[in-house]
Amino acid sequence: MLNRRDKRRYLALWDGDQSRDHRKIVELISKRNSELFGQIATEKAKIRFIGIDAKQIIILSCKLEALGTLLSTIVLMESPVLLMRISGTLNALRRFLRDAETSVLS
Amino acid sequence: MVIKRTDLCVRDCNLERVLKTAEILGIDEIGASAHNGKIRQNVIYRLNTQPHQVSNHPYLVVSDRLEDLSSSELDLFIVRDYARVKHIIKKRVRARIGLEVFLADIRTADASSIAKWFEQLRGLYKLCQSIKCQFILSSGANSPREMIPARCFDSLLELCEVRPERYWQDLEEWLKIKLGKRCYTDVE
Repeated sequence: MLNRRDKRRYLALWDGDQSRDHRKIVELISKRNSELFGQIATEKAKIRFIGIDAKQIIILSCKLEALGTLLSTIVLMESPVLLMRISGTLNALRRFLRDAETSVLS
Repeated sequence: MVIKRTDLCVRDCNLERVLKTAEILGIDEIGASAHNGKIRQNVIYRLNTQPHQVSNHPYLVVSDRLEDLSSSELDLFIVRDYARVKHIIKKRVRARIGLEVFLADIRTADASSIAKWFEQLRGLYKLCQSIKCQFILSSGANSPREMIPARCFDSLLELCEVRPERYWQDLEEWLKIKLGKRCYTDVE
């Protein structure tokens, strides 16, 4: 049997609360996702923190099949988190972020 | 097929900032209350009453007061508490008006309230179909950071059991009819 890897998507997020530790965003999103869709769905989603770029954009990844619920969770976060881009590869996402105009959000 | 996505309520007064954010988020058109004399492209203005003179900008007459529900001027009714107003809407609403809900109203609520809210939205969508009204989901954002990206709109619509492509097509058509009926002077 083929050992297939999970298809993942990479998300670029801008945290509306610039004062908090951006690394905690995975925790907060996972917590909200559990509240809304349950613990099992959250574990299956495999939400992972990838990094923060120079413009303070947070990069996360999740399993493709959980993308829909995760997107709903992101807009239902108590303190706003803005989804800027979804990409299938990290390189494409980083290319987008290099050129993205984010000053308007600050 | 190109889908045009519209967020009909963003409350921030800085339209330039809102429009730039909308571009990043994949939103093609926004609805805004602020006017400030300068007319901008891709903005539909939300007014409380119909202007006395012929206007030079696209607008919708909006209200959240139940007394206005049967008014012939009204284009858009804001539904705040669906469970409470459901029966009144059924009795008094005219066909072809938009029934709008804001995500901002529920963003900070707990999970159980959010679940109930989505159940109500499913009911509202069904009601809209049966009374020939337009179901409208807007962000109600007070700032660009509260705006909803296009992809997230689609996910929320799926949670309401609404097919996103159909929703955007219906909304575009409804806006075309509502805005097209009016006379406008040329924008300078």
